[in-house]
Amino acid sequence: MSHRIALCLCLSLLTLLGVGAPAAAKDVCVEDGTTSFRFKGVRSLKKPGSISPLNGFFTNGSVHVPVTGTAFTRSDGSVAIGVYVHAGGTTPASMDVDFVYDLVGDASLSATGVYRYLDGQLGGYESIWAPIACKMLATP
Amino acid sequence: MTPRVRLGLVLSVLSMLGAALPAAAKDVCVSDNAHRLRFKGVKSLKKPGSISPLTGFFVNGDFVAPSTGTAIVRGDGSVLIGITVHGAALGGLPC
Repeated sequence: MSHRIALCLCLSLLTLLGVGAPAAAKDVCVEDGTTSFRFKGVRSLKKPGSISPLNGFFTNGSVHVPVTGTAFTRSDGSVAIGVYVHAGGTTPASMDVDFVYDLVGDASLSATGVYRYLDGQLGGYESIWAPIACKMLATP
Repeated sequence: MTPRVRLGLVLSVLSMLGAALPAAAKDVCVSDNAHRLRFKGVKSLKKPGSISPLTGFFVNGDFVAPSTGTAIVRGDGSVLIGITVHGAALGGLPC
């Protein structure tokens, strides 16, 4: 095989792989005191205008429930985060209500904000997210 | 290039592409009496620890609304599902 053919094949392979590969996405885990989250396949949030779904789970003691949300990067580079925790119907009864998180942080999901219970109560509670290694979170 | 070399190259490309593609995802529809939900591109939920977005729509008669959610697989293989139906701006669910 000539060098020219080999070069063409290599370039074709690289092109095909570039097309076939999904945009860079990785699992991101954060904790807030005794609460932790794992988000699956979070897209890069470095560029203003970036948007990523946040699908994963919430863990607090024996409670493990699904969460759904979105993060997007604002023009100043800060990242706005909204997450819905589907805790209704779980035990203990003290956690038997859905709640939402609204935070602002950076591309690593290091963020500060509030969470609110969706039971008609006014006000919210402070939340501070810090990234952690996902290997620290066991399967629910 | 011999046919054998060509075949080897084609197989290499196919296997590399297979590795680069995301896991198989399919549309899933469920029903709860009069309610119906269609989720687009649901990922496999067989392995503990699997997580899939649930993005789609909710139908009840003429009422159709977008829905978002997540499914997670627990260690015992059971699947937990949380869904939000975004119907408030559409007049809400008919009673």
